Amino acid sequence: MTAATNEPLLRLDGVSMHYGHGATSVIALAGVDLTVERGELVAIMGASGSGKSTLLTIAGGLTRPTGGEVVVEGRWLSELDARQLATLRRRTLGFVFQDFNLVPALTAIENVSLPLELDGWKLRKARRAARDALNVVELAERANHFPDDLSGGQQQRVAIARAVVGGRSLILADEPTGALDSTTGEMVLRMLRARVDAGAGGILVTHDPRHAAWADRIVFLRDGRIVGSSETESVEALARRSA
Amino acid sequence: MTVRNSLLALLGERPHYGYELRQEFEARTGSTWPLNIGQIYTTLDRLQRDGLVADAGADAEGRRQWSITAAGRAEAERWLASPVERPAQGRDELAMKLAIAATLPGVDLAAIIQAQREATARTLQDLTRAKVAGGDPSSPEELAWLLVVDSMIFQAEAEIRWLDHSEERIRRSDLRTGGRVPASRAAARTEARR
Amino acid sequence: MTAPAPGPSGPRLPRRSRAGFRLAFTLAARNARRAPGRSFLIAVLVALPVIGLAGAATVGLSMVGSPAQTAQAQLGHMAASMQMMSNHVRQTATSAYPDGYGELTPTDPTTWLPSDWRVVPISPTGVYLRTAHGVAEISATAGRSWDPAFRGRFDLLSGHAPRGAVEILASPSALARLGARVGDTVRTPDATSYRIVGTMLDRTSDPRTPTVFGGRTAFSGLGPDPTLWTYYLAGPAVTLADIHDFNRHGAFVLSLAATAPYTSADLFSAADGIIWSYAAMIGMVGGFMLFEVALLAGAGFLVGARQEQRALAVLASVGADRRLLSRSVAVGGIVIGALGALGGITIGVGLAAIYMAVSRTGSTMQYYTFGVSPVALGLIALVAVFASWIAAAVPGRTASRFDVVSALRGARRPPRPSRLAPALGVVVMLVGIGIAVVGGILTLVLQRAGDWRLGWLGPTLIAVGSIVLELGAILGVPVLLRAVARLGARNASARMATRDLARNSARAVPAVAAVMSTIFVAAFLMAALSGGERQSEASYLYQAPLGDVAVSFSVPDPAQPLTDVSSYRATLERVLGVRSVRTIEGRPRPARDTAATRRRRRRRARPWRPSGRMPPHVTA
Repeated sequence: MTAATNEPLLRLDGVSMHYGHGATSVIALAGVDLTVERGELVAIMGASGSGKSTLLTIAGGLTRPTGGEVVVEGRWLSELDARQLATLRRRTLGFVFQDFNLVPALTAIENVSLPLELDGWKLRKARRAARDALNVVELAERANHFPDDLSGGQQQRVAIARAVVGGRSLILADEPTGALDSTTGEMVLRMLRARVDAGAGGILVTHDPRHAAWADRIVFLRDGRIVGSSETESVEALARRSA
Repeated sequence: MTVRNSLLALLGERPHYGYELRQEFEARTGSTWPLNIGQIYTTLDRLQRDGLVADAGADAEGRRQWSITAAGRAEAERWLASPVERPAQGRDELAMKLAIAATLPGVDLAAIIQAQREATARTLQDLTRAKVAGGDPSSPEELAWLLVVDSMIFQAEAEIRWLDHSEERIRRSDLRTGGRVPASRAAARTEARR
Repeated sequence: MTAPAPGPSGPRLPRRSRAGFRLAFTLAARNARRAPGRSFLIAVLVALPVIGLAGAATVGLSMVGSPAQTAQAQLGHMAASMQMMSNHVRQTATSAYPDGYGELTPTDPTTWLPSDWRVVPISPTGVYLRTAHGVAEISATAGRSWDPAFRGRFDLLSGHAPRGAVEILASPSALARLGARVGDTVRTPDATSYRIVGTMLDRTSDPRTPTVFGGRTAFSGLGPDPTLWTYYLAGPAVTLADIHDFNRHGAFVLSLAATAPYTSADLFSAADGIIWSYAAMIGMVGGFMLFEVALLAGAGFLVGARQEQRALAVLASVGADRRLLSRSVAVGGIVIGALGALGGITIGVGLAAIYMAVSRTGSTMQYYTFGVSPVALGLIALVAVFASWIAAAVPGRTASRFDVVSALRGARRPPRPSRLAPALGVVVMLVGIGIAVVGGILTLVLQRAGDWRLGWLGPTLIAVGSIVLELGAILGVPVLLRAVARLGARNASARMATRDLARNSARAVPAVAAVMSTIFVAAFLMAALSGGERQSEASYLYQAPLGDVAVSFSVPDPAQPLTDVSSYRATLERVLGVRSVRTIEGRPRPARDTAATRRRRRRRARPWRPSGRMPPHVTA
């Protein structure tokens, strides 16, 4: 791991994405610059079709952009082949999607330890790390349940545990609360926030302003472009103001 | 009006002295609306004048205690049970600004909306931050405070949603007319919404 | 810009593939359990041919005794048996062939055999006996079959050994056939009479076959011709050296001591072309069944892989590479295939046991053992699991090549048919035809050469060739489907159906292929059968000129020829309405040489050669 010390966790440089060719070409992203630091949660907001999900899959190396560069922990994704991208997903990134995050044939703890086992960890060590991660999302006692036996919120919490297990640093969440009711969604966001505050970085794609507000920075996306952003003050500054 | 009813409701619990009332109010509303002690005493005087509270004498340390009367209790109950009437219109500067801007030539409505959205988003983030930074959510004070913060969060959210909606509406209108909305029609539409 | 940082490939991880296999196995097993209906169906598909193959293998192997077992069954407690040939013999413990050094006169072994051995000659023959309803020809065994050394081969059930030529023993079924009891007297049509003094069984024959046992001279028609007799030797063990000694006198020797070291496996390797042809036939039919299973099960696995597509996408999103994705589906084939094979073998062996119990006659030469061969069954299971694995591997490969992002969103676009596939299909088809033609030519050549040892090779090549041919055809099916869809149908629903099939050819191809292979097997069997029929017609031995009818009569005793030939003539003229009847009378040389005994002798000389098709034979 030779990440440059001053590199952010994630950097998007002029990332663009076109689908199709010529007259039927669709522009999903048109030159997006974005950085995510450790301990920072960035929300991406925008109407459907604004390109926010595409941005996330590009950041996670699931989709190759047609232009620009994605740099994760100092590694240029355009330089990596499929196998190396898979390794990146095992070691650095964790996805949390709206639903169907878990492999239904695996128990909660097996789902969480999946990336570690894939990465060649010893089974016992992987399971211990997975149990710790489940503990953090308060689901240790559900470790041996299958996803079908977990509520939607519990499933998302397992997904968050999996996204951060084994010291993985970048959480990419695509509408993680989209299928949940308001208070359950809030609990999931609280977990997400806690993992970020503990040192991870994250992107949260959502169309719900209330959920986006959990982020340190909200980036507004329209027609594949960033049209603005809003940054919150730190908690300390907030405390100072209300004192 | 709101402060008056809130104090009345607090006195319905047990007698309080003035400073204590202010502490209670602020604790239970998460210091969202700071009150000065003078405002408390003025309100208590008015309540006494209306026969809703009574002077209950001084306590052991010589502080003047206030207690609720039967009429006051009835008034407090009526307040809690009745829905809050919001001002139906007017004073909504944002809506007014957008309505006017929509009729003016050479104004970038999208930019206005985006600026407002960022500001409201920041408010929303601050509120959320404050909420997350809160203490034990199971204590009554914390719960009361959460309720208040949530109310403000939802209001901010509603504003952003309305901004999104307006932006979409304006965009469609731009597509249809190929540019600026005629002043008269925009005005008529704004009027219709009100 | 600085130089890009090295990728996260890092050092290769040796444990990954093991973890990958464990994960794939877990996923496959759990997925199989999560769709019990589909898994069961696929397992049954795999099990069906396995049941048939395992059952056939078990019954078949039960019928194949080791040389020692067959010797034991035929010899009882005798040391050896000898058959005298009219030429020099060279033999191993298990097979004999004339050595080509010319003829010699068969001799009675007692004339040259060392006195260490007691010789008991036995000959199978027949006898006409009157029953309650008429005259029956009943199998008879001439010679001292009640010799104590025959225990295990001929067993005296009741009564005592016959004395002289007038006392005989009868099998219980012969008693029933004759309507007689021990102590009764039975007669031949020419008024020779026998007294039944006991019951006896030949353990090597079906006890339902009526048989009587008498002394060496009890039954007429058996001369001293040594080729008619089998000489059993009681006494010391007959070694291979002894055998080679006896061979010089024209004796083919079956010895327990000499065959003991040989196993049934040796028997298989010992030039047994017929067994290999049967094995090849069973193997080919079984192979085709498994091939069809692979196709149909493949469709099942494909459906499963589609249902798992999202789970596979999730796996990909947490860093599973393509190999693991395809493996998690393919291993499902191994898991379900193993279950199906295991169940199929259990049921097949069970059915074989039931079949053998029901069909068992009591003959010691029908089933030597319960032929559960771990090697054969293991091979069958292995092939079945392999077929199932192949069935799953193909959808597994397809399942691993997908767009993760759209799969996660639940969208799925059918893969575009390859343009290369049809061309490749034609090439593969040509290769298949080539292999099959080579197999056919080889079969012909080997048959001409009379070499049975490689009898399995031709049919196997034909089978392999046609499977390859089919695989080639399958590659072309999507194109064919699209062509059909483009042709269009008048009827809207038919049009929709063909379009849908063309679009989702992966679903239709296994079905088309399965139908294709079924038709292939049927066509192959029909061609083989009608070919056999044609061949036997071509080699039909005419017994009489076309338009003529030959009726032959045989008489039990050449000393008493037919007397009323004219009455038979009249009957034939009346019944058949023939224009003229001619009588040809043949008298045998000293030993009566009927077609039956000729046949018997031929069979003895070449024990494994199948007997040809027999001409129609009328016996009055």
